[in-house]
Parts: sequence; C-alpha cells; structure tokens
Amino acid sequence: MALIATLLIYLAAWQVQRRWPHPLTNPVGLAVAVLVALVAATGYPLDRYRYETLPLIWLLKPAVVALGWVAWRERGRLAGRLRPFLAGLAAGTLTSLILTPLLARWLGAPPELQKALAIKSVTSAVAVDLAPRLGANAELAVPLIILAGILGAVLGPWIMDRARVHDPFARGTALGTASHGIGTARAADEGPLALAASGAAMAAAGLVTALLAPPVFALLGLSGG
Amino acid sequence: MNALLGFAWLLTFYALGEGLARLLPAVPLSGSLWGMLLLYAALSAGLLDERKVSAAARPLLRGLGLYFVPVGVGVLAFADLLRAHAPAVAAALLLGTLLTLLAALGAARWR
Repeated sequence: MALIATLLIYLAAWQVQRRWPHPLTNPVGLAVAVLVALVAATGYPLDRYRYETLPLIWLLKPAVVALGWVAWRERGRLAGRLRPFLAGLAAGTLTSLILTPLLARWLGAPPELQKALAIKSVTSAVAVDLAPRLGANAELAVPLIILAGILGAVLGPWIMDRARVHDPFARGTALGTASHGIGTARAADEGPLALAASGAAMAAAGLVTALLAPPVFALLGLSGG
Repeated sequence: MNALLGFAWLLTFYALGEGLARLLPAVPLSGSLWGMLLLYAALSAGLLDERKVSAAARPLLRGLGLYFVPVGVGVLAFADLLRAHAPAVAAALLLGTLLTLLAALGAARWR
C-alpha cells in the first residue's frame, strides 16, 4: 500500500510540476507534503510505511554511483574552469557546514537540528548515506534539504542578479553547490553551461561534504551522538 | 537488456566502492560515493564504454527524487522538535542557503 501510494502521489506531483513548472511545485516537496498529511491523517504506522518503501531507498545507492556519470558527461564543458569550480564548491560547502549550524545554535536549536541543517545543501541521495556516519538524522535532514533546494531555486537567481553576477558558469556552480538537484533544475533555465556546472557541482558537493563534515563537526563540537 | 546490463555495471561499481570503503576506513567516504569516484575514473580512463552506463544511469536518475520521498515522510517523527524550533530552523535555512549560494558564487568567479 505505502509503496504504490508513494509512487502514484509522486507521479501526480510530476504532472503538477509539468503543468505549472516552478521550484515551488517541486515534485519531491509536493509528494512529501501530501504523504506526510496522509500518514498523519490516517494514522498509518510510520514504521510500516518505512518498511514498505525500503525498495525505493535501496535505489539510492546505484543512483549516487550514477552521479559519477553525470560529472563525467559534463567535464568537457567545465574544462579550463577547474579552479573557479573547485573554489566555488569549497567556499559554498564550508559556508553551509559551518555557518548554518552556528546560526541555528545562536537561535537556540539543539545539536540534532544543527547537524541536520549543516548538511542542507547536499543532495538528499548522498545525505541518506552520509547522515548516519555523521551522527545526524536523515529523516530530519531530507525535508530541510528539500526546503534549502526550493529557497535557493526561488531566491537564488534574484539575489545573483542583485550581486550583478551574470556569468552562467558561476551561477550554475552556486546553484548546484547550495541547492543540489532542485537548484540544478533551475540552472537548466539559464542555459547548458549553467546546467553542466550545476550538475557537476551537485555531484561534487556530495563528495566534498562527506570529506569535510567530520573535521568541521569535530571543531564545532557536534561529533558523536 | 541494455538498461539491465548498465544497472549491473552501476551495482558492480557500488560493490567495488563498498570494498574500498572497508579497505580505507580512515577516509570518510561511503561505498556509493567511492563507487561514484571509481565510475568517473573508469569512464575518464576509457576502461568502460559510456553507452553501457548511460542506458541505466539516465532512467535511474530521472526517478532520483522518488527514492528519497519516504525518508522525507519520516520527518513526522520529528514534528514536535521542528515545531518547537521553527523560527530558528527557518532563519538558519534561509540565511544559510543564501550565504552558501553567495559564497560559492563569489569564489567561482576567481580566475
């Protein structure tokens, strides 16, 4: 029941996105919202829902591997721009890992939330894998990740215009680094170079976050538990 | 058949990645992230025909969003925690995302 309901609601959300293409009608965000409301309203046991939808989660592992193919496919367009690409990627990832949990801490959020927020810019596919290794909770992180994606996709182009940056390569790198797949879908509107930079940044941000999060969490006193 | 063969390749790289993750426990990469790196390396080195992988990678990635929808639904277990800290979470998300974006944007203009 849970598996087929999830699939059908996701497909319906896709139709909504096709009809009204906008980051706010993101199919993942819509499907999660509808399913959360349904599970809460019907009292369907959450553990049973989790168990019945496990086959979907198993597909995440080969899908993350397949991101290597995305990065490989886009490498030609990024040739000669490796330095700014890596600089943007590192600066964005470090900002997300350090500033987001600190902001949350100053505002009184507990460590559990600080950790989930720190990985908000990584693609959910990687976060599901990464969270347990970091002592973070994937179920708490994924909705925050989706929201970070939507925020970046909705406000990103506007704020980048205000910053007077029109270089599609820099804009794509920023969208992919800060807003993963949802940002990449938005970058597609800005042309093939922005799309390539964003797709590659999304794949690479997963790697960089996995490598940098353990030392950053140790520095911020967020390791363990 | 081609898609199945490609899927077998993706799983092979995932398995290789898991093996490497076990061999190198000091590197904080999961099996699937190692698999992603190994696949990139194999394609770059010309060890693997791109068409073999793309037949599976393309349809698999088209459904990527669907695979983590169930994880998102699990947020129900944290409804109270999120409600208690909603303003902090909203502010950290909004500012954190925009600062991440601007930091990446600024640095990506470095020549």
